[in-house]
Amino acid sequence: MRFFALIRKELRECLPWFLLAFAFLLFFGSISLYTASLRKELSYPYISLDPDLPRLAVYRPLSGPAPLLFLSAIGLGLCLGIRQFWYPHFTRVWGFELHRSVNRLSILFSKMIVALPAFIFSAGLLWYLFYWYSGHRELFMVSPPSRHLIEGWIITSLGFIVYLGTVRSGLSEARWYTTKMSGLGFSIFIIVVVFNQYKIGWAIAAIIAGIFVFMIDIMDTFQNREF
Amino acid sequence: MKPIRSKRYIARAFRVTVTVLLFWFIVTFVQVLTFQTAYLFNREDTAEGKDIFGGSQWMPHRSSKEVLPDGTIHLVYTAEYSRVRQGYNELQIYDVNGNLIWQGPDKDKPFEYLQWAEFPSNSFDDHQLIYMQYIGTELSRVLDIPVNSNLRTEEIWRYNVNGQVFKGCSREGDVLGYIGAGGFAGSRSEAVGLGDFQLFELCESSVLNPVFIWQTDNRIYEINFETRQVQILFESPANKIDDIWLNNWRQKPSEKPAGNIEYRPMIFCRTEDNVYYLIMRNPEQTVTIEAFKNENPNSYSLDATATSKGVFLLCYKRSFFPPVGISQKQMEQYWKEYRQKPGPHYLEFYSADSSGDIELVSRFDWVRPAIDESLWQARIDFYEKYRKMTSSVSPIVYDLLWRFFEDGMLRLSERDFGIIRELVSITRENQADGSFINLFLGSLMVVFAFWHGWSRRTGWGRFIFWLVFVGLFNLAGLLTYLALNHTVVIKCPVCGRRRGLQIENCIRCKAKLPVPEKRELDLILST
Repeated sequence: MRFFALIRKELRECLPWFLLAFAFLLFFGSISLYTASLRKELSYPYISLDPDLPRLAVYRPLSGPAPLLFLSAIGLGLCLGIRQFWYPHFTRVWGFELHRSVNRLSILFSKMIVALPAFIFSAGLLWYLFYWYSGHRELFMVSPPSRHLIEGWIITSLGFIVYLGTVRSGLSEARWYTTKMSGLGFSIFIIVVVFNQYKIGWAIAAIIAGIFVFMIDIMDTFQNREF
Repeated sequence: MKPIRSKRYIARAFRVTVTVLLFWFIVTFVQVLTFQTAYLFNREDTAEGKDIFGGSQWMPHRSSKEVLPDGTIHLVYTAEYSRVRQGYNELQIYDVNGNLIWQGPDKDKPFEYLQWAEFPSNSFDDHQLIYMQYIGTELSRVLDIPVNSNLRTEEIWRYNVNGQVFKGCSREGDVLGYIGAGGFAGSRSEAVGLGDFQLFELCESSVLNPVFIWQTDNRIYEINFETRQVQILFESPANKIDDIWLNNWRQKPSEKPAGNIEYRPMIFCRTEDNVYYLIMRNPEQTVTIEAFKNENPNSYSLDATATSKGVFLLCYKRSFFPPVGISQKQMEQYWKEYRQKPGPHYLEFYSADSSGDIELVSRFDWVRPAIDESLWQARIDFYEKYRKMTSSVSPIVYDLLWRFFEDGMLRLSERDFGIIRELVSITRENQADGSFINLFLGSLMVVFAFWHGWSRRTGWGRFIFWLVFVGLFNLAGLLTYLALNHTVVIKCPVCGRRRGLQIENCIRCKAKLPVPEKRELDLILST
């Protein structure tokens, strides 16, 4: 019961950020998709084989909402991480939580259990909706490849990586100019690695490795640091 | 080991890895930035622009060699650029004996030289196909070939990278069918894969309804998406196709090159066993050239052309060439020797018959003078000076990796995915090659870490680990060490020597940390 009470509290505090990310992506993503559906006539007027950007390969209705997905996932990760771990006196609950009769891991997991669905609902499911919409043949000439659906989810999980990086930095007791930012730095490193892959499997492996490294480090830090 | 302790060890290891990675990244970034800035501001010091061949007058090595259809070889010099005379268009043409035959603007030259097959300039290759699939904020790209009518897209043929077939969709979104090695197919199961993609070239000037030359490992296709036809132009089941060159392939009559020589459309290709094939039209004909099969591929280059009068080959050879399969260092040594000696070169012009036998028509020999090594060396020294300066803080790990795992590193650098290639390149560019200053600075850092860590040490194993770590990673290692180990030092109240606060007992006298004395109203200590 105590654990569920913690979850309800976290959910209450984080809900505005979920809704903000959801509304941002829904609004601007829909506009982008709608605009792409109007551009159907202009998709392939000529062919050019520019080696850097072959014009043969430009028909991607989801390429408009994708940067918005990236922005909203990264933004959500930063906001949730800061809200839950960086400014503990934001709502003056740290002392209250840490001195109740629940163990530290329960507090940590209650926060993370709330954060994970935030990414799934605010970014992951919305991305699936965009993918489903862009598959309508009366609106778009060719459906996007299924790979684009997975890539969207990979981008969403990068938001979760940024969340973990923010958590790690928030929990660090080091000064900002030493290793405090190493969590955020490592999350940027994972993003660079993922964006340098063309095989989906390698990108997923990099994300799983990143999550594993962060979780071990965060659990150790959270259990051992002084509050 | 208890799970909680093992988790702590894993967490520490990850923390060290993440921190060293970040500091390594920062140090490398500063190194690259310093090198580029220094190079930018000092490049006037180099020997660039000077004549590294020593400025001799008769310079066949500086001319382009052109051939007339009868086999006469001319040496064509392009004048230096001049604003007044609108240089680059000014030509001087010599015969092989060094006699000036003609000079003037390019457009007025009285000779019509043979035009050779060229590497597809408008092509899209396998590297670009991989690059296209990179995951990015705008997602990976797909290869869609449109078929247009009156500037309106009627069909789109999408290439399936894994299945190696094209899937067609109509404007209304209906699936039209598939295009594979066997041509058009109504269903996916009937379509046969084209093979591992190498390159395609847009071979017709009309860009609205493209026709492609599509090269795979073992075949060359011509694919017309508008008519949905696939023609296998060439097949080499046993050996992979290395390169292709095109001449006049599917050119429109209106775009026929000016001149009297009538060229036949031709694809010239080489397979990995060093056999050349000329695939020609008007009439359809394939000629196989096996004369160069036993030649070292580094020793020559071959051009080809086909006219209504015959098939011609131009072979450019040098007598000094690197053997196949030598290491990087041997290759560097080879080039050094190559530069120091005068290099005999020759050009051979052949005609080929329909059976692939070749006959020598004409030949021109010349000697490239030895390169003035001091000027060449000045260029290398300039680069090396800055490279050594920035690599003085490089990790010694780079040297160890390249010394003991050179083959593996080279294999990694040939991989397609970008980041590993970049990492390998960084280790190569920034390796210190065992330079004295790198070792000296590395030693200084180890000494500093020793001095810093002595009073803060919590155990011998950990202390030695950090010293070795700093030694291996140089500046990045020292910064990591300081970031993770710096603590306040106090004077031990028992032995009087400096001690860190990371462990409860003094590392020297084993005395415990002093407890603050009780004060009158100290609620915490008195309860």
